[in-house]
Amino acid sequence: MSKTQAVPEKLQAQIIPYLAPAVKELLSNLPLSYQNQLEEIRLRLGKPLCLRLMNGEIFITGSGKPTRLAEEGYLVREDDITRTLAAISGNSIYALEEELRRGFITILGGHRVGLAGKTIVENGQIRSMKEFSGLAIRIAREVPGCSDQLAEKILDEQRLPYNTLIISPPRCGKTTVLRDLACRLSQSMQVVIIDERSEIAGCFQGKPQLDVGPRTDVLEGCPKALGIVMAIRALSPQLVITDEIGRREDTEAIEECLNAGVRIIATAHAGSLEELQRRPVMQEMFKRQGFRLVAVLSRRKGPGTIEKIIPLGQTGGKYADQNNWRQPYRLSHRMDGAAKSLSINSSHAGP
Amino acid sequence: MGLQKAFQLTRRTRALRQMRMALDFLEKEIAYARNPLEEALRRTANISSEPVKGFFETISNSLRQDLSAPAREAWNQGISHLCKQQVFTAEDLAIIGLIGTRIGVSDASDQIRMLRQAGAELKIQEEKSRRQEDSEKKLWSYGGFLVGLIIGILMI
Repeated sequence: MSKTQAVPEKLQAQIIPYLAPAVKELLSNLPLSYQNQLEEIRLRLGKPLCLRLMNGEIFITGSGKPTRLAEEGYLVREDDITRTLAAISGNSIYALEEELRRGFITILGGHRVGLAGKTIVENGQIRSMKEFSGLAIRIAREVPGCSDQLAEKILDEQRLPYNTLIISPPRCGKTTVLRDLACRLSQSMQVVIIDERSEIAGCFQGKPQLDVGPRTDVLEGCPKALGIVMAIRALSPQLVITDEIGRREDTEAIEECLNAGVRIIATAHAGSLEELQRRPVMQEMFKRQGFRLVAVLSRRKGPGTIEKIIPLGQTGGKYADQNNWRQPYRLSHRMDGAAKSLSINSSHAGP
Repeated sequence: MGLQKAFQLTRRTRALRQMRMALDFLEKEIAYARNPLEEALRRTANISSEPVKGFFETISNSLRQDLSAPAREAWNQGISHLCKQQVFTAEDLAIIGLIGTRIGVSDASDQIRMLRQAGAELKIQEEKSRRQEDSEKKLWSYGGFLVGLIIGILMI
């Protein structure tokens, strides 16, 4: 997929056809200005049809008009959810067991449909879902060039990326930035994306629906720890990109990656470095000195706003003077020091 | 008329066996191939003969034409098609119709259970039909001939 479609085009071609007729009719007439801002469509049983826009939420009335008042919104019926799910799943829930375990289905175009309903748990693990009561259709957004500023900050003198961890709270554009970084960096190096949740490349039936660059391979639906090791053995990457690290086994896989001379860029949910530090797994990851930079993103000036770039350990290069090289190892101290030592002016990398 | 009734009994037994075999094939399409329902039904239609073929074709076509049609609605259209064929009894149709309420809406293990249950019930119907066929076929055939013969004699 080389051409980036605008949201209204995606909405008409890839999302509206999958909606129940009643919802389809309401959304078909949505003014273009709202369509451009659309991030998510929420269908909750017996609740008003809700649209999440880049700058807030609106509801749609029974006559298709946008409103800020929930009580004026069209109430979603069971039939709307049944029919939308029938279209999305192709009436084939049995073929989507892995997706149900993960709680979402990726559809053509890389859009993600989150599911709410009754979970079936077996041996402490979610086996499946049934009796669906809500759908969250999240529109996959490509923002070409949104990683330009970040890319300049994370490349060393040899134009290779430092091992970088991108952190932010949810909905701050981590995945969008990560996808654009993959696209950009794969112009000059072999990139492998370990896309456990099918969010980065938005794979549908194994094919990336979003542009991830010319030298990028995607391991879709693969657990990160396994995927990283598999990619190193089979796909000889120069750079591994992955989303939402945080499990104990991720630490070992990342170490394996670094020991193989492969660079890594990953993301994690955290509002700040301090929040990240509180997690034992992340402490272990930093102790092993895997990541050289932490990039903190926010939504302050739109998704993808770079708040800070924090060098960790012996980053060297352009960050050499900002590292605390000779200080004895003490994780929290080093991070605090590093955080104080560099605070890059906020810049907006989003649209 | 007798011959026609005898032929109808044979048709029903044969159609019940065909339906069982088709459901068996559909189970494999769902459980192992994990093909989307519309494709699974089309493939099932391809290996079946009438009236079972038309039943699966009707459902598959209905799903293809309306993306958001729930499988149970399409299945009901298939049942209407079968009703017109006048091969199955109301009891047979109730068993087949019940599949429509759950087809495609649960995980593979549940789908297998449901299809096997329906298959087992259809097998009982088939055996009943065969027994009925054996006992009534001769009666209807001979009865038909006898009635024909009597009518013939009366006309002379």
